Amino acid sequence: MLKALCCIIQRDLRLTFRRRGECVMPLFFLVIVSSLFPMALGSDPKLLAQLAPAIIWVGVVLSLLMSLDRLFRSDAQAGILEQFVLSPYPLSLLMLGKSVAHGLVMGVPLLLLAPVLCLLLQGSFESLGVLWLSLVLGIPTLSLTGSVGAALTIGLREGGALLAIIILPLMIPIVIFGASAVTAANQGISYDSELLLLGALLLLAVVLGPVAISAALRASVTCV
Amino acid sequence: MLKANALGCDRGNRELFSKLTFELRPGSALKISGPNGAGKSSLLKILAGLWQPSVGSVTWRGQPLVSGDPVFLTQLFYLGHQPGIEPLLTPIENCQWQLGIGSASAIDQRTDKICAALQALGLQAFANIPCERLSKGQCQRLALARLWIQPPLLWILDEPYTGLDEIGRDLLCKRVLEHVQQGGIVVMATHQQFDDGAILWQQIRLETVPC
Repeated sequence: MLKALCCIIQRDLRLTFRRRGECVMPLFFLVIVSSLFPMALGSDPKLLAQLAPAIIWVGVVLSLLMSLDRLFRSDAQAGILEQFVLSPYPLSLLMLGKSVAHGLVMGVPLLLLAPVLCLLLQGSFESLGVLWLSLVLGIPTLSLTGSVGAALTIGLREGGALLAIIILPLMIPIVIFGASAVTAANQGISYDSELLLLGALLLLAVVLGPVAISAALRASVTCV
Repeated sequence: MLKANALGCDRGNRELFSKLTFELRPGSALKISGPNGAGKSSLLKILAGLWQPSVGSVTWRGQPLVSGDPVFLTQLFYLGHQPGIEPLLTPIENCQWQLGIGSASAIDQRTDKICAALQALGLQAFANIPCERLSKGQCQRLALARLWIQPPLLWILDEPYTGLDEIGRDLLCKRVLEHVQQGGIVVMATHQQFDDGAILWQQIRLETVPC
């Protein structure tokens, strides 16, 4: 079991490395989106500092969405999804592997980038830790939730737009708790409850996400 | 072993086939022929458990086929229209992950075992270049590599000769013959007719039903 999981993770990490050019695009996207805000809002440091957590969180969600669109596309084109479905191992296990790989590939660079961008947006130094912690808990949840949408929209020609419409509403709670934890930290209020809720959502996503992804994938492959 | 009971398949209000009944015992081979659009691939997908038949049922060792049943899936090799090769990985890497999510034992996943299979298929010189640089026929050979590494009991092959040259065709023919002689089961859809030696094929011919 564990070997099949490692096998999928290794395969996806290797593939990401081979097309690393494609994979850095969401990161550039995040940098550009968050640098657009100061240009539109003006350079009032107080206003920017107040908005920084929200800007970073929305930017992270959008850049993850961009990468999710590609998650199953190459596998679907090459006819590999059928092989996943025909593997004797549980499909949800293989999908957990894909999500872990996606979380690592997208999550780690985003976690490195986000604090830097927050400082650029005049975010306070003290809130960086909370921002980081909220992203650590939030990004895997976002990745797992988004993978369900990606699996549902395999094989649709306008999959990208539909993916955003299906998935963004489901990501709202994560954005609310994530951004409000940082805002609370900025105001000096306790932010424990937001982080605990993010943790609870993460646990829920880890348990239910792979099952939902595999059900969506099976439906896409077997009912064409 | 593999038994089809009065199988029928409808695709979009069009009946592809109906009342198809046959049984495959160990050591038997079935060739499905018919014109384009007659339902050959649909039948194979139903036999592999990927699709549900509209009527009838498929049983394996007397048990109805359940989608995702690990016992059945460890004994199945299914090759569809596409070879299922990841173009950015090398042949060895492709074999590794395919065996990893298949039921292969640790010995079968060893690189020397994979290399031996690639050599048998004439791919040893390409073992370490990305598959996007291989030709269609070479990809087809690679997709069949598992039959040389760790052949399961039941092979379901959809047009396996597509893109293969004469040498590749003979290689596959010989492998199929060996497998059937050792008590395996082979189901193949093809419209190529050529002499494949000593295999005693059961034949099913599907006809195109007009709308």
